[in-house]
Amino acid sequence: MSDGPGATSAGRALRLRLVSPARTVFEGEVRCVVLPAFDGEWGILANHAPIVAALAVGCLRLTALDGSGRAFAVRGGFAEVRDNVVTVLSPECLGPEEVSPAGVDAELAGLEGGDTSKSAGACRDRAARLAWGKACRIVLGGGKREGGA
Amino acid sequence: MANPRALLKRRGSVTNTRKITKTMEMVATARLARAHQAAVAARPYARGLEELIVGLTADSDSLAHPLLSVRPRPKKAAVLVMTSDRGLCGAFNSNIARRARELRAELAGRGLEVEFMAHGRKAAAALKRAGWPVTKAYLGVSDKPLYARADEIGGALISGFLAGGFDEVHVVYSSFASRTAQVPCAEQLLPMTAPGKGASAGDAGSKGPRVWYLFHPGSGQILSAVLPLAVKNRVFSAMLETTAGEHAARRLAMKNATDAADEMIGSLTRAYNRARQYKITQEIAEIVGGVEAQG
Repeated sequence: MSDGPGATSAGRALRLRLVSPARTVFEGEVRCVVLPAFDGEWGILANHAPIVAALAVGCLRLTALDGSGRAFAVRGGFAEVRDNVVTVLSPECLGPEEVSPAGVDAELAGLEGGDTSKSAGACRDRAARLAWGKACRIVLGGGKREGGA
Repeated sequence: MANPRALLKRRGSVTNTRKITKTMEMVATARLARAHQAAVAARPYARGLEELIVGLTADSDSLAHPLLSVRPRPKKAAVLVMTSDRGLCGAFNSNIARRARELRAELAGRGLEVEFMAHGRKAAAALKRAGWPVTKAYLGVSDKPLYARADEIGGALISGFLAGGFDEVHVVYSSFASRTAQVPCAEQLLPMTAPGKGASAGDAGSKGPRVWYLFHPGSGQILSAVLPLAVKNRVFSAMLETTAGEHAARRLAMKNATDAADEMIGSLTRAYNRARQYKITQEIAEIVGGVEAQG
């Protein structure tokens, strides 16, 4: 084990651990992970440099070893990449089985009625809820982005 | 000698009570297994946050954050007391209440004014009985510890602390040492003591060469985002441990009650048999006496 990118000689497999406070949501080997980092999406492949990134509310997508895709809605948190292990710590993290379509639709419908928030805090809160709703929708759609977004 | 019928009735009522305690014991065993599993499943997240903070504080010694800084002259403290909602679990709740009392005395000794928050019906009742001010009570919550609630409670504590409403935050809960031992303990939540701050040198030695992370955004910003999560997760794990402890304590209490009922049923059966035999013997003696008198 030594420092720096590409120093690990382990194979090309990247390990992803997706951890929420209550449980480990996903753990397994993947080909590639796309993280919803605070400043945009980051693709992580094997042999990435050690990094710690803050995540935004958004959608985490992975490509499994067999090429199939999967998505999770992530409510902020952190990602740590080290020695070909990506550890994502997020206060809330849902897979397609746990997102309820009706709940998401109701949430988004409630938010789409124009921005009535006064303070900056309420505005941020609203933006986060909107991002969460959209992420949930992407997760339900099997990781595909909504038309043209 | 007691009336055999009264003994029989008494034995019947003890048998019924035993059925209840036995059932409660089994329910508590099942719930304990589930609560224990939940506590174990929550460990990776707690460990991950801790490692992240250790990594951050190792990265730079000068990291400072309002949630880490000790106030020079603390005046007010908030104490979150966690118990179960229901009783019939032995001394579980009263042990926690006693620990809360000790903590209050300790804080008062340092000249702090203490206000309480209750988590669980028994905590609210104990604090009310003691006549201490309770600013917020969460009731009906101990059955299923949810992170969303820990998030809410932790968020309220953090904003109160940052706004200067209180200078210290403590939590009193039951630490789940094992299935037979629950230790009531008090812990300081805020200002946070960064994990591994003192042991970081030894840690680094044991973990091999340290990893140079790139922090995005800077380590300071990551720290200020990760600390609130760590505080909330401390609340969450205290909730999980208290719930597991509650079920463990109830299982033990109900097992003892069942054993005591078994013993009582045994002695009541013996007393009943003796009374019955005494009555028969007496009747025979009377008949024999009567026959003899006639003959």
